[in-house]
Amino acid sequence: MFKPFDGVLLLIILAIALLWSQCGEKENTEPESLRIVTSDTDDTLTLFRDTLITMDQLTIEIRNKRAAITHSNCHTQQCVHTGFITTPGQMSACMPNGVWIEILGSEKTTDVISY
Amino acid sequence: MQLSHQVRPGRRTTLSGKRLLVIVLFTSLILAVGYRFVTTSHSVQATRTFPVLGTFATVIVTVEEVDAQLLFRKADSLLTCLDIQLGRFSGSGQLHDLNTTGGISISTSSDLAGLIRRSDVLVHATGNSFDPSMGILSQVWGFPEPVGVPDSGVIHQALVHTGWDLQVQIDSDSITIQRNTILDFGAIAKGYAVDQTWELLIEMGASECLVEVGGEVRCGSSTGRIWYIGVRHPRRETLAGILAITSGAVATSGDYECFFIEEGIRYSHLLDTDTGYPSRRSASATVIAGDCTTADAMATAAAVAGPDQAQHFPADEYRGMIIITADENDACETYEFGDIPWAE
Repeated sequence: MFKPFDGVLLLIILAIALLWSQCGEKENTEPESLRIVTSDTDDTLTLFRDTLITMDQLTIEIRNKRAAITHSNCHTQQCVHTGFITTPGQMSACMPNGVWIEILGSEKTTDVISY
Repeated sequence: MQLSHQVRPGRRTTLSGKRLLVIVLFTSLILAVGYRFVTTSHSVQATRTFPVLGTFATVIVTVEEVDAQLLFRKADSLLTCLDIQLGRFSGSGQLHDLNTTGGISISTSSDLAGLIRRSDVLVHATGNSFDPSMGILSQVWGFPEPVGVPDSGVIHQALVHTGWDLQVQIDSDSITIQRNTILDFGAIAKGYAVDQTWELLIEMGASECLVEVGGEVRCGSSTGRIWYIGVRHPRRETLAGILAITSGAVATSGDYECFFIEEGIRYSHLLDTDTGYPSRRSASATVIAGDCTTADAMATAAAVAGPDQAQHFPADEYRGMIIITADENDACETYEFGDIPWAE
């Protein structure tokens, strides 16, 4: 016989199937701010304002809602070669100096911004 | 017969319930797999950002049968080529030749000739608020890397070499500019490059396409997709609003982009063609138009002219115009002209 529990099970499976069919279709975040972490500090700056952050050992640039470590006194220069990071979750790190930056995002409401 | 009749209907009922459950489960899974196959496998949206024209370009395309990477390579190549041809600082290309030789014959099919002819229309439509002959003034002020307010005598001396109608002569097969005049298409070249790239990608098979270079945007699709374009606020770290458009272009020009502050006064790259000094009639202007070449030039013109003059710009050149003014305390006022498709 068809029992009440079967109906619940059916609804759960249908919901899972529906969610699975929809998931991963959209990028749901857009770049909003830059997190800068050093051995002493953990700061967050807006990406809406072009900024040049000069530290003793390196320089970080925010330009057009993107960010990069543009100069460093480290010998590998890997952080500088990473270039501009643009999307939420992306990171760039200068390991010798113990500094890393990460783009933080907010819920996506626009495709692009006119500025 | 009677016993059999009583048992069989019961057994049939039990089997039908389980069968129904199994059928529904399989059907839902098949539908889910089918939906993902139809929407994901054949139609792919891809986004790419790359540096060009001294800023960044973002291209969003939805393609079905074309490789998105091929479209990105074509877009990058075209934008780089236009950068060389139309950039004042490229050191080569037709504009460089025109500015250094003072007059050349240009094929009527070339990008520069098309841009000059379109500029001629927009210069007159905006009452010279948009004027590419201001290159020497930008040079005197040092934009895009200004160092301070130039001597007033130098500014007045430079003004002699500006003024579109006085300095630029357009004939059927040649374009000539007066000696010491420098053409600078910084207020329209990005929009033109956006249009060229967008049209190329649509021709190559993109069903949905958005191209943005330095905040100037062109978008459209064959699917009726609505694009959401944020408009930057000139004085706040939030958006002035979000536009919802299916097809067209959006461009913004503001005094926050390239400026310096001296003795508490903001000096931006938005130079007034009459005085040679930066205009302070607005903080930003956003224009919605059918194409990005027009939107870009009109946005600069509206930002220079301010709301009082810009409201008289010919309505057939744009769909909507948002001008935000700011006083010395950064108190802002917003003026809207035409149809502004704010997202609900």
